[in-house]
Amino acid sequence: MNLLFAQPWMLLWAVAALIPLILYLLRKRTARTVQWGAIQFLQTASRGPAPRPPWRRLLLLLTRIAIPVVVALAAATPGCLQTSGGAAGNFADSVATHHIFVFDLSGSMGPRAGDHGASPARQSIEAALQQLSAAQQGDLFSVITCGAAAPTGLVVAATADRERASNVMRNLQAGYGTFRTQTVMNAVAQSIDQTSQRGLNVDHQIIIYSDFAVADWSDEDFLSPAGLDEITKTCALVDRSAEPGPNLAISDLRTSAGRSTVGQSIIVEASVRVLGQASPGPDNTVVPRKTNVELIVDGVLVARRPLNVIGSEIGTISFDVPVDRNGSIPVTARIDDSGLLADDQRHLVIVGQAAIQVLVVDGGNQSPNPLITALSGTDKQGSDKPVVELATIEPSQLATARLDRADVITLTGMSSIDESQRKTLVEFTRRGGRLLISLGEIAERATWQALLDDLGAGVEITDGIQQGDFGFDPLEFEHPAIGAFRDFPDAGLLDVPIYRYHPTVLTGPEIDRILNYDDGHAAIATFAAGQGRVALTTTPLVAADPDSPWNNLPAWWSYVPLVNELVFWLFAGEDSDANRTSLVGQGLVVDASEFPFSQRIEIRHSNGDVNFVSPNADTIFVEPHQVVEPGFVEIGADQGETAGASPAPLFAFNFDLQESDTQSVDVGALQSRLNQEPASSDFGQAKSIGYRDRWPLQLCLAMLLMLLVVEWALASRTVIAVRKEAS
Amino acid sequence: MTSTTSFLDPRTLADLEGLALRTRYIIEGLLTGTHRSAHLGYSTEFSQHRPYVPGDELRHVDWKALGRTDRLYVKQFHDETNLTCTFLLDASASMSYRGARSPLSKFEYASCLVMSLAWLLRHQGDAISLTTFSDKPLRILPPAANDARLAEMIELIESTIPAGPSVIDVALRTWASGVGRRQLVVVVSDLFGDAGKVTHVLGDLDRFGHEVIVFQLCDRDEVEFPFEQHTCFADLESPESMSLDAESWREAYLHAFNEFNQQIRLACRQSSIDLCQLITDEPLAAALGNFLTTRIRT
Repeated sequence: MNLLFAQPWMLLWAVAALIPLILYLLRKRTARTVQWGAIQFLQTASRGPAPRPPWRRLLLLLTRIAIPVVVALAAATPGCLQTSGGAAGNFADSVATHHIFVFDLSGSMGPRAGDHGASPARQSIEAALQQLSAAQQGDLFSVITCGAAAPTGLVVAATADRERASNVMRNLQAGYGTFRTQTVMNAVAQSIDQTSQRGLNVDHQIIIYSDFAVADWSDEDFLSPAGLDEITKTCALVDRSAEPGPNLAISDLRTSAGRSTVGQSIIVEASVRVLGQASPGPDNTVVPRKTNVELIVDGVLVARRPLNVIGSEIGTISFDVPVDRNGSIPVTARIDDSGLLADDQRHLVIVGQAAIQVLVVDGGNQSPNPLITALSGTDKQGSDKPVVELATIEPSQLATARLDRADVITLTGMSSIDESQRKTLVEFTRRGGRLLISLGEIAERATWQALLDDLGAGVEITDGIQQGDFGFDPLEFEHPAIGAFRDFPDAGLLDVPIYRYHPTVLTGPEIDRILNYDDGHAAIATFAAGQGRVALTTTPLVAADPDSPWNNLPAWWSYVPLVNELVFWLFAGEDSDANRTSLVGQGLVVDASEFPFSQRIEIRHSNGDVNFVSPNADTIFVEPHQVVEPGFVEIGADQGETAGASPAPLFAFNFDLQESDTQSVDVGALQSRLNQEPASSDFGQAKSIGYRDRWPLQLCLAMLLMLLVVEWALASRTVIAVRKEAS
Repeated sequence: MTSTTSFLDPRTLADLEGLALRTRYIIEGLLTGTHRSAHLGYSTEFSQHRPYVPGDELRHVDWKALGRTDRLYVKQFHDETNLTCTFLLDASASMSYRGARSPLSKFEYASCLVMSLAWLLRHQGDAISLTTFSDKPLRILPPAANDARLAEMIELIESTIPAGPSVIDVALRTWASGVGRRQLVVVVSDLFGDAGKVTHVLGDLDRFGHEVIVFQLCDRDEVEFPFEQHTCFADLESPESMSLDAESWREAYLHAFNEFNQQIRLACRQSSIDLCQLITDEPLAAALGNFLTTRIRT
């Protein structure tokens, strides 16, 4: 049985035991002088045997010496182990012990800059492996993890298979969960129940490897749960004081528009958060972490701005990124932290394009088409080159036209749409094309409903036409397509007279309303279709019969900005690029049908390496090992040696070391860190606390109480005794 | 109503300046409680008539009896001879001790006691005398039966500073050798010294025909020895000192002290000497009561 202390440094207070002794000796040396007349009796007494010091005085001195010693013992929180424990301990006197290893694999136990791979989690595992190897034959082992992405909970349950437990331990990795007392206790109880159900009579020893840097950790909760009082518990504390502390990490890099025309700019927003336990400052104040966020566009550092991150909040900073060329433009944000590479930078691709290619399918008889007029007037500042390049076709040409050059197709003045046209438009949107549909007075409801159904819109055009005097409800301008009107009430958007429209019922969950009528029906709605997007207006943008208008939109001064905002938003708005981001070490599935050619696909990595893959069925699978470094992978058609080194980029895939993403773990980066050998076995510095109930502490407190009573009794009884003696 | 005891409380006396004032205060207190006492006038009481014989002083003839009986009778009284009382006051250095709990030093307490007794004796017309001593008689006021003696005694006591070693046997024996007539001897001292010699000289005084009353004064500290820490005891009467753990030596000290007192008591009893042991924080009533009781008996 070993006596251990939770706070051994408190034992230093035992030095206070010297105070009464020193005072006693000092008083002896500095004896006060009394002018005494009856010295003859002292002389008579001195001729006899020297008296012994009174036992009461000695007892009082000993009591006063013992009090600070016992106080120091109690403050050190003594505990008792039946078996040796702790990081460097062994199990010499254990006969049949159920060793329950509990690993805190939360973020704070993960790798940090400066730990050279010897993360607390790795050190914990190494220490546990040593203890495992020192265990006796016949012992049982359970492994419990908490805080890891997976596996978590009771991963090894009361097994005598030491090798299995050892293998499981070796494969454990830190994640980004939270270490919770209750979770651990449930798993511990589960492992103990299993031994009970099997009729095994064993001692249970719980060894927790944790820095306990969690908000809800409570020794009391853990050590005194119902039914577990008799278990020997060992907590190995990891001293994190020498570590570099929590890291800052870029947790997100996003943009509201994935593409833009050349000469415009795109807002890029970076989020920075503290990864790991935020260390409190003096007096528990939250100390802001400072960093500089750098933005690198196309390989050039274009901005460097400071950012403070307070506590567990997420700091956000925005950059205005100019789009100055065609094609995929890599954007990298990085912070000057000294952590992992994955923490320090994130990547993004924006696409620059010379002009928006708008294909107007004009089925109306209005000339000139006000939509064409509105879009034609859009020029870049300082340039006479239009931002929008327009092309116009008849509806009959739609099925046969080359649509791959068009970014946006507008359908105006069409009374119906046949099946071939429908298929063409669905294929166009599936590959990422944008579609602006304007339902008019001559619309045949059934054909348009069929198109919307094929696009997967979840929009039902109800029978009849809604008539009256209506206006637009901007829905608080929340949608970015009309966000430009927010602060301009004179722009006329809210004054446009609407007389008739097609009422619709929006049933799809992914439909956004851009504008409503003031009676609550949708005026302009948008939804994703394939890789592309569709905007639907339920009142015509171009009137087929000017003498019987459905609205005054084309004549209103808000018409031009409204049409342009819609087209621009459709072009540059949210791209369905979720599947274009992957992690280093993980595979990537690309829809091969996006590629309108059958030759090999070239994958060009950011470090210059090139892989080729052949389209296989409908998908291209980028092997995990093919992407080894973070950055961009451009995927395009293999144009052969004659076509030059650079493929025609179709997509740029963003591969990240996404350790800072709370939703996923960069297994590869962590593994590469964890596989490094620890610089030193500094887990041996970990502290251990052993408990067997709390009786040593309770004994200390009882002794303290008793000593105080004895001290009081002796101190007062001394005087009483003298008086009695004298009387 | 103020009790007699409160007048005799040493703490009250300590607040008064001057021995004369303290003495008057004590006596007033005493008389307040005893003014009807039969003790007063014992030496002038009528005893009997006897027939006149030539040579008797005419002032003792009872003229009223002559008128009633036509015979001359002479009134006889008890002994009309004045008593001579000598106070032997110890003025050695040990008498200057005053413990932390005592309002008066032993010498101050003894001074109040002597002057109170002297006033009483003088009040009934006795002659009083005072001798201070340490290792020998220091200053002597011979017997006198006038009130000026009281003032002289006060002056002598107030001018005396306790000093010097205490050798009671030598001092008393020296005093006794110069006194011929039988006297009432009141010894006021702590009696510290060789117990055998002290008791021997007290017995000698008794054998010389003196009537001896001994007031042994002790401080409360000397009786209880309440010291607890290591203490250096410096002798008041010599350069000697002893440094010791007082608490551990308490028992041995008290044993020696009590044995000394026991010897004194035993010797006084054997010699029919009235011994009154007083502690200086006790009221003077015990001392005065003891004295008066003794005088009634005689």
